[in-house]
Parts: sequence; C-alpha cells; structure tokens
Amino acid sequence: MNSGKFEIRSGVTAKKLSGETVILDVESGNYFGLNAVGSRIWELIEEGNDVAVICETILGEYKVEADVAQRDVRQLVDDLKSRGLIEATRY
Amino acid sequence: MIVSKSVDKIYVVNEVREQKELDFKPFHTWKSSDETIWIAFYRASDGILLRFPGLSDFLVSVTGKSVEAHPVPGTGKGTLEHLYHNQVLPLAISAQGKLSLHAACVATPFGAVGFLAKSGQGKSTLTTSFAAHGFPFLTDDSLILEKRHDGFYALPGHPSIRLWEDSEEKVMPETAISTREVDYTSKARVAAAGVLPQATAPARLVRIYVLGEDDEIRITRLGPGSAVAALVAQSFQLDVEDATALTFQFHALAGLCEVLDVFQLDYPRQYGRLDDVRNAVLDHLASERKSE
Repeated sequence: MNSGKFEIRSGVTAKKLSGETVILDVESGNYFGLNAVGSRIWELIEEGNDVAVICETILGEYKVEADVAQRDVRQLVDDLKSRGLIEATRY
Repeated sequence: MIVSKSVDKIYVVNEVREQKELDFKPFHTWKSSDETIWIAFYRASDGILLRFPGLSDFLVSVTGKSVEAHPVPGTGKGTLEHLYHNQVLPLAISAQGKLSLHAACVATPFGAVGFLAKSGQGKSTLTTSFAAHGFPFLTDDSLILEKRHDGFYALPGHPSIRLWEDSEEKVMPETAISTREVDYTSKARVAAAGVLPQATAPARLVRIYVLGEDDEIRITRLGPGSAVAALVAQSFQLDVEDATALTFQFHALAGLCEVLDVFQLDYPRQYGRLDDVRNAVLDHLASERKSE
C-alpha cells in the first residue's frame, strides 16, 4: 500500500478528453485510459498532493464512503506505480 | 535524376543500386503477415534510411522535407511510385509535424469522412463504393491532415485506387482502366481520372470511422481512450524512438479527437451489402449532425 507523495514519471504524458484522461508512456509506447474519478486522482497527483489529501478531496467531491474512497485511491496509485506511470517524489 | 512532379515536390530518384548489407542494425522494422521484413528503419548520418528489401532504399531527411530513392535494379517505376506515395511520403510527412494516418477518405455533403484501418480491411473497396456513387475520394490509403484554424483538413492524395481483382470487378465502373504496375502484389491500381470523382482541394475532416470486423452493420461511438489508441495504432511515425515526436503526435491526435467524433463501423464484407453500409454511414452523419 502506498502513502506519501507521487509524481508523474518523466516520459509520461497525458491529455484530458471529455472527462476521461488518456495517458501515453512514451518509452514503452503503451496507452492507458482513466475514467472521470481516475482522471481527478491523476490531476491531484499532478498537482503534488499526497495520498491522504487526495483521499480527502475525493471524499469531499464524490458521494462515497471514506473507506471506499481510501481503498480506490490507494488501488489506483498502486496500479499507476506498478505500470511505471508515477513514482514516489524524491524530495 | 528524376524529380517527381507530385504536389509535395520533395522526392528525387537517384541511381539504381543493389542493397548492400549494412554494418549496423535497424532500430525498427515493419513486418508483413508472414513475418518477413517489409520496411527496415536505419538511422543514417543524414536522416533515416527506409529499406524495402529487394525493392528500394529511401533516405528521408530528419526534417522529412526531402526524400532520395535508390531503387534496386529491376524495380518498376510503378512500384517505386507506390512505395513513395503510400509508405514513404506519410512517414516523411510525420517528421514535418503533420498527422498522417493509415486511412481512406471521401468527401460528403457533411464534410470529409475518414475510414481508418490496417491493410486488407476494406478501405479501398468502401472508398470506391462511395466514389462510384458520386462522393469524391481524397485518398484510398494514406490520409495526410493539415491543421487549420477551423479544424483538420484532409489533403487529396494520389489519383488512383488500389483494389484486388474481385473488388475491382464488383465496385469499379466498367470504364475504369487498371494497371498492375506494382511488382510485389497482384492488387491493381486503378486510375481515377475520368472514372471516379476525386476531390482536388483539401476538405475539412468531420468524422473518422474505425473499420471493425463484426458481420452486422453497426456504428458505435468510441470513448476518448479507445479513439486515441485507434488513431495512434494507424498513424505513421518516421522515428518511433523520438520521444519528442511521439509526444507531439499523441497530443495532436488527442487534439483531433477533441474536434471530431470517432466511431467504430462494423459491417459484413459482402459486395451486396455495400449500398447498405454506405447508406448507414450517410444516415449516421445526417442524424449526428442534427443532434449536435
């Protein structure tokens, strides 16, 4: 399980389209898509928020139970990290 | 030395020569369905060398603004022209920062419509069907786009359509004159002049249909992720290791998806159903236009 701050890895670029986010990992050539909630989490990561703040923000913006928000945010962060799209902030 | 009279004016044919084995490896290859190399991409000191084994080398400058061909002895003019227009030019254009897609395109009263698909999926047959019913075609294989203030414009391509013999018999007007000038395939190249209408000016692209393989006629909207992925998969890119170019292309394709809709068009590959497919597309264009 991840906590702390993450940043978008170098060589990864993204574009928001119609509420969804399309991500390109230039190095591997792989593409990924995020739905509306995933897009918001991506945005919050880009802004430099730590996981706890991201969970609080999602909880405030969507009708969702606290434990569900935390689980979903952490799952997505884990997934993005395992795919090499984000990495722990080094400072 | 022969300088092509084609509109791009960047193509020069140099001396015929054998393809000597290079002492460095290609950084990228395109393979045919039988896994043989179709194009090998080599990094040269003055650009990128595209080698079509047994046919020709093409040296494309880094900027994509000049192309030198060195055909192998025995490669016909028709083959060289085909390789240039359908493979090399779209790759060179990509290095100029323009989008080039593996797609056909026809002009309709609603605007230009692209049909995106890999080879052998029916782009040329569908395009011919539209053109034979009065909708001018812009290209049957390589769609080059130019961004303008009010959208993306499709540029007219080579004034011919390449068809397999059975498609030629079923969908081409009887007055068409075909030639088989391309050495590596039995596909005929059918000159369009006087037979099929071709758009001679750029036309604003309003819709892209990705050709699907289901047997029912069905049109389905693609979400942004699927749309961008489909466009990327059928985009030409000269240097697949150039991160800047790939990032630029990705954002340009995403920008394309922002200004037009991308749908998947499934239909049976039956000549007898082409009228239905064409009408389904035209009805869809009309209905979607009304709902906008």
